[in-house]
Amino acid sequence: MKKRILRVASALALIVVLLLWQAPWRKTPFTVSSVGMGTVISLTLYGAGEEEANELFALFDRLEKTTSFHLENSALSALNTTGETREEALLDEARVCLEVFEASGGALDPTVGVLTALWRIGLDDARVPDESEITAALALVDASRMRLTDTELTVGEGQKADFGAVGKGYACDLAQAYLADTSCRGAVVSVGGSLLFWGSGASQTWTAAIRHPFDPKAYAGTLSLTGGFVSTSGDYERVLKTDEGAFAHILDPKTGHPAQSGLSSVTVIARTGALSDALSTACFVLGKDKARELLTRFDAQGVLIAQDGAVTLVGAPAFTLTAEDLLL
Amino acid sequence: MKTGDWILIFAVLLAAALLFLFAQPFSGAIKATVFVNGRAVAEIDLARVKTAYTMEAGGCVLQVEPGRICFQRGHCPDQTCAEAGWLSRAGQTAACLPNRTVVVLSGAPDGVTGGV
Repeated sequence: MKKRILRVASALALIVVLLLWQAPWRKTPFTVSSVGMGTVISLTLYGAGEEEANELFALFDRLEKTTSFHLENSALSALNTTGETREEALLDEARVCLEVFEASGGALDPTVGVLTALWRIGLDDARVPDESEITAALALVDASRMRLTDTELTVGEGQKADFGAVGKGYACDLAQAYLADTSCRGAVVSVGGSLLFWGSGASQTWTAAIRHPFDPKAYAGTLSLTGGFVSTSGDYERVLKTDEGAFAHILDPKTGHPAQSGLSSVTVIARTGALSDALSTACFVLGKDKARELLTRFDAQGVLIAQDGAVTLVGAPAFTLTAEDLLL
Repeated sequence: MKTGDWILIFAVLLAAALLFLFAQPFSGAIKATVFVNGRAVAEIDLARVKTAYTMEAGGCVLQVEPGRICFQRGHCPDQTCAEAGWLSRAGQTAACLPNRTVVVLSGAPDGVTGGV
């Protein structure tokens, strides 16, 4: 009789554990969205809540105040005035930018700031510069004149650094480092076009939707992944519309004009957020064929969507096409 | 069979039934959450909206209709929020950056956990 009671008690204990494990409150994350770094930031946290979310928003706020190209009192603006900095976040961002600068043959160039300042795409006073202005600015775009050591970064005379191509991805890197020291067991951090999928949420697998480049309200498809960093660069974000046409915000450092590579959107999965962000920008500038080489070199995966609707996969990402007007 | 066996069978069946219920993916209606400065200020079950109305949030004006929501034009210096148009599908987001106001639609059972 005692054995039977023990058996029943054990079974009931197992049931309680299973129920707690499957309970809805374990699967319901804390979600919050806000504005920061010039974009929308959304957090989905499992096993963490408002306190951790506030810490993350404060972290992003500090990062923006340090690395913003347009804020006059940022550490980046100080670098562009004095020519040198010892700010750790800027050194980190420069390191990734210079690595991709070398590997991409200059398709991503962190000294593109003089052009950013000319076009000002995304700001109220954006304009199409004169060709003479672009030619003069191009003479200052050359990241090989940057000097980076473990403790210091310098730019050449008249050069302006702009790490906007890695800023949102780098924010995801910092978010991961912060969350690893908290009770959080799983998270999705979305900073504009960069995403971090970390730990486990309602299941072990995360699904990232990639926006349709021709239809802002539709998905092109979904990516399935167990974790990592995903960044997208597209010609539909921050566009300057004038009588002369529409100009997307990603500038080609070689021409001084918005990149025209035939690609409409590039999504990259890479080992860090900053790298995924940098590679998506470089690939957007390079075009399909060279993008494939670059991604392979970094062992990264990509989903490239061309302006004619052709979809190219690089490195076999788990991508499911859902848009009927795109062709894989 | 002894009474204990019956209890055990009953308990296992009960657990199976509860696990089945708990393990079902969330399939609720589409919910619009309005955030101002990172704080949720309103949650609207769009399927339950019967008549159109407007609401103020963070200096913006939102139009709410059965099954959809949008930023009304003309309430901020930057019209990007209004250009996003009507939001009606889970996963859609629109934001007014100058007013630090974000509208997020959630509630779809399609398992999408992030978008770029």
